[in-house]
Amino acid sequence: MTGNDVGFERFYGASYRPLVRVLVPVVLDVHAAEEVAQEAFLRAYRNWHKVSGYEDPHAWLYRVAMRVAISRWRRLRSASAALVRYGPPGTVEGGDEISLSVLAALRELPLPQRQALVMHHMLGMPVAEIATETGVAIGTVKARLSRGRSALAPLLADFQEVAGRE
Amino acid sequence: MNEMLLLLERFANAQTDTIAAPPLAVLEARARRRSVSRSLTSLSVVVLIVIGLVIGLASVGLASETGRHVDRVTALSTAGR
Repeated sequence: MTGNDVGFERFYGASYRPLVRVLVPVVLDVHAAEEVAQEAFLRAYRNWHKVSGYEDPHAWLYRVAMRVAISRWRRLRSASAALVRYGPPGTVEGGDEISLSVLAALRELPLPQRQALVMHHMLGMPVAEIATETGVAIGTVKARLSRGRSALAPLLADFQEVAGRE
Repeated sequence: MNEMLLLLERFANAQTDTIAAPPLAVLEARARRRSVSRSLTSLSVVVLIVIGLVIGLASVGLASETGRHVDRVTALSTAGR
């Protein structure tokens, strides 16, 4: 095993779960999130000689994973195709009451809105960077974030109450 | 908006607390399969181009041969008359 392989193995081991964690609110399906993550890692593996030299290989990985999630969503946008391939949407595996409410709220949002929420709030990307990355206008990203926040806003109060009790 | 981050993380954590990365060998095998399939696709494209060229050249050759044959027959029949 070369130093390069060791470097990738470490990167893979350390980034797999955090990447899937970020993808779940976007694709709303743990198995689909893992599939997208594996595709992103596959691309990282094949280009590791280049990716390992980047200032932040994790940022590259997250960007690629978001692109893979979007292109997968475009392919499966037809509901019948998605049903045939993956079964009903949003097959996440349980969780507490708050998580189920978040899932229900996220299900109401189209994937690009969920993606904007995750990129901004979980990955800390500025609006302009999200616009560049997703190829849409800054105003579109702001609108997506606003709709996403509105959908989740009613849950924030419940969440703060539950978090306060815990 | 920190609460939004906490809310999303709580949801994501609840869904992913039991997952683990598949062994690296699985990823390596998938990369090998992808590479083989790409090579086969490129090879098929090359084979198709070669077949197309052969058929194209053969048709051109056949057409020019037929043309020459017609000219010869015309010349012979003219001479015969």
